[in-house]
Amino acid sequence: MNREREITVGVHCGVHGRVAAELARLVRTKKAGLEIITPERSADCGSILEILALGISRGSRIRVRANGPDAGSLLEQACSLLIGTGAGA
Amino acid sequence: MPEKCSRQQIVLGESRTLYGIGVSPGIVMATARVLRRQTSSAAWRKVSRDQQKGEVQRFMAAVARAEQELTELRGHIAGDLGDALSIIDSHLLILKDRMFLDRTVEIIRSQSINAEWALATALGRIKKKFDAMDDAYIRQRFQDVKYVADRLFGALSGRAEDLLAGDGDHGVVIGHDFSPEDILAMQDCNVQGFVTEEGGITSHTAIVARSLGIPAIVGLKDATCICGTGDGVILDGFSGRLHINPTADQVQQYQEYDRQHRCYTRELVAYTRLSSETLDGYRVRLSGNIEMVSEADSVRQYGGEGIGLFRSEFDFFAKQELPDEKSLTAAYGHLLELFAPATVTIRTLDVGGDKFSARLPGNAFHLDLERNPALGLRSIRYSLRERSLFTMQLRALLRASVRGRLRILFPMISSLAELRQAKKILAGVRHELAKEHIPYDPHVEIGIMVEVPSAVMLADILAGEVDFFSIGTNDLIQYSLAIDRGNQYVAHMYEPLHPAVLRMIRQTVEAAHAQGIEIAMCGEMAGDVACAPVLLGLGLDELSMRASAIPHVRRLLRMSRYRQLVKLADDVLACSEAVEVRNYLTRYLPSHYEVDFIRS
Repeated sequence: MNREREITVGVHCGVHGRVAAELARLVRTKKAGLEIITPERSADCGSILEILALGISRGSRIRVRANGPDAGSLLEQACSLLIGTGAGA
Repeated sequence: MPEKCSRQQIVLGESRTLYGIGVSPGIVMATARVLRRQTSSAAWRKVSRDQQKGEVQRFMAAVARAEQELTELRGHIAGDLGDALSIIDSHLLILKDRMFLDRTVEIIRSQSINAEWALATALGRIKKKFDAMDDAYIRQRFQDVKYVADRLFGALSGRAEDLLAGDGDHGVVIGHDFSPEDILAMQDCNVQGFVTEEGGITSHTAIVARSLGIPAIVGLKDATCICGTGDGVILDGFSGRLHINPTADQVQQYQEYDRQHRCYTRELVAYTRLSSETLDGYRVRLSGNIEMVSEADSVRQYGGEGIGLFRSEFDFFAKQELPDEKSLTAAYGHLLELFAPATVTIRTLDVGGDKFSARLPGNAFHLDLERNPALGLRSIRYSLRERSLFTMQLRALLRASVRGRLRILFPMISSLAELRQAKKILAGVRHELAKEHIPYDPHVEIGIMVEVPSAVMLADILAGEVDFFSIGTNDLIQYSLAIDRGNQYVAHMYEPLHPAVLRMIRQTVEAAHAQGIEIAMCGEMAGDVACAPVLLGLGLDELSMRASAIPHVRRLLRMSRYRQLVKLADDVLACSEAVEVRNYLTRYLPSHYEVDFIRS
């Protein structure tokens, strides 16, 4: 199964340490691969360093692609992580 | 490089002050100890074909050892140090990362060289990628890769990676750079504070120092050459100053300051248990802002008199599925019981803007389309559109209302029509519950957040339709000053003490009181000690803030007289510029409240 979505990154400081770590950890729990594609580069989300090296900041438009039996749920969870669920007054 | 500079130019015992970045508050007066890590230079060594397998094995053994060290350290950390745990977890991920591990093995094999050289080469490639990034914050994350690499170099060289081995008392340790793991280890060696030459305020090392409460200064260039082991130092983690061989005057000054700070901290504990009133008996309510029911305990510990803002979004975001009426009723009921008979103000779903969830119906779609989300389908507008979700939350709120004293807060109301529409839906829900014979408290108070300038202008009209107001300053400032605080180019213009903001607050307070309803404030401004006296003087009935700020604000209140607060507010409202307001407060606050606000 191959799934893809285009989203706007909403997490507050961009894709920094914690979100990158959560993404890399999420990929390990799924039977699927995950790729983030920016206009310039792409990264395999199995590697926290590749994700960090993309240097994605808040508000960036990115494509997220999942591949494998768990692609559907992986893509959904990864997107909600990247879109972000912060809160403020 | 530490070796290059010499201490000869420095007169022994000479007193001098170095300026770095204070990243973890506190004062330490102690003896310095300069630590120099043996940086193993990665010598190049050819490895023959038959030795290759052994070299890869040697590298993998080093990885295994580093992993074991990190895992052991992780096991020793108390569960409440969440930041430290997640930093170590990310270091474990980096250690096993393909770009790091697989690449090094590949270089050992393809270039027939030793593990150290291969690791240094892999590290160099990663650094190049990070250096090319625009975002300084993410660029700084390379530091974490380096900490992991240093640990591996140590493991490869076979030496024990114990910086602090040796005798007991360490005082202030000074080094080129410390990893978060080094700081965690320092905890067990009586280290009272530390100074590094590298690093910034957002570095992971700084985060760990703050969560352990170890005073620290980072970014102090050449500290390891200027300062020597055995020098007496004063480390000021507030201002980032390191005084080497301090003068008698400096010592005395700091002893006095340290005494004051300790007194203030001790004094604060007492304020968690006292009532919120001025010297002349004027009372207000100081309550807490929370996102999760589990935070309720800390509000009670700090002496909060109820919950002034429960942000209900978390229950909708936390799990895979949306919550149902039953689970929400239970959660709200539990919270109400915890605080009864004090009030608990629960804000209905406030999504959109900077608070998204792809799981909420329609939200992912709208997020993709919105170009200006702060002005888009968010908050009450979203609830009025996704009617069934809103109705479900209102049902849960009313059903829980029998278990304590509930106040329902509608966010982001910008017109009377919107408020009436929300109230009509609520009336429908009440009717439904009555028909189903489900009990609810008919006296639940209904209020609105005043956070859009149009609500301020209509405050006199809106006040006639609700039981209370709550001013949300974060959004009110964003909307009225037209400033996105997330935009680095304009963020400095975000100013809670802007005269326009202060006038809006006054206008809203007057409108509420003219109708005889209560008015609260639940934005960040309410918990800011520099703003709180002004807000109290403006006549707000309740200030709701993060739990730890409550004793600070209560102390100010209890040291004041009501008339004096009103005069302060009048004087400040007469200013025409924010900088004038700030200057006024910089003079006024220390002389009235015996505390140096810039430092504490």
